[in-house]
Amino acid sequence: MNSSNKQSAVLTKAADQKMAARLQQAGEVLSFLGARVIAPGDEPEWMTSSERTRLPKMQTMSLQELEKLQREVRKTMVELEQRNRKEALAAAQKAAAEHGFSLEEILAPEVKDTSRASRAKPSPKYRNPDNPSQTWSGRGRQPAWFEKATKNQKTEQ
Amino acid sequence: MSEFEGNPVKVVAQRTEVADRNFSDWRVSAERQDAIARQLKEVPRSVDDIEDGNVRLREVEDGFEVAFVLAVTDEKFIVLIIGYDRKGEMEASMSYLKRAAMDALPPPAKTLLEGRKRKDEL
Repeated sequence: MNSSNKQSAVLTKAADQKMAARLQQAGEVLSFLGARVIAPGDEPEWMTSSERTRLPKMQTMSLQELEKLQREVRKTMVELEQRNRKEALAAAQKAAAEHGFSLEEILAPEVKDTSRASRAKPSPKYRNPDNPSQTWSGRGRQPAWFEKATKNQKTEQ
Repeated sequence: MSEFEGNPVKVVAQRTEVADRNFSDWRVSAERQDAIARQLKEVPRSVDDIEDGNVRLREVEDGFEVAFVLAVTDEKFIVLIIGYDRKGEMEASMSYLKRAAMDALPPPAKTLLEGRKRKDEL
């Protein structure tokens, strides 16, 4: 029985075949690189110092380390928010431009049309008793009939 | 810059094609892969690692672990990631291979699994 037949005969589980493939390829890669494997227990000193072997887990960190981490997280969050804001602004500017506007134009309060034509006609406040078709709103220059009527104390309010 | 290639420091993280496929199968993002490589480079040996032969297993996030090998060349120190899978899967397979299928393995795989011989075995 050659090696591959033997292998397929023994490694029936996919997980085991996968692990065998992992090991085989690792061996080949290391051989290709001309690398020497470092066995557990043979690590250089710098690697086994207590500081180097500690994974950055919060449970094992001192208060100072946690505070430092907190500052770094806060700083990173601010930077991220600024970057997101910048990206959102650029996207909004692009969308506005596609509709022929600048972002400022869209965000500015709507401009009110204050022209004379758009103003509602004021309702009449005074009427000429001698000619009811003549009215005056009370704004602007007094009409002649109003002046005459007020002089004669005949104005109807 | 990716943590896997072109890093100017002497400790480098590399991965085999199989490990690359494992990362893809589990849809591990490039950022997450870089974070794993960075952690391995910063802490190549942890007291929390499971050591089986020359293979080391480290839980890198809840429920998942990487299998890796430490090696050295004249120029650099290498952390070679060889697999990524659910926690316990690789350890169980290695245990089975050691127990029942050692002879079926090709020599390079065998060497990695056997690890350093104890004094009483020499």
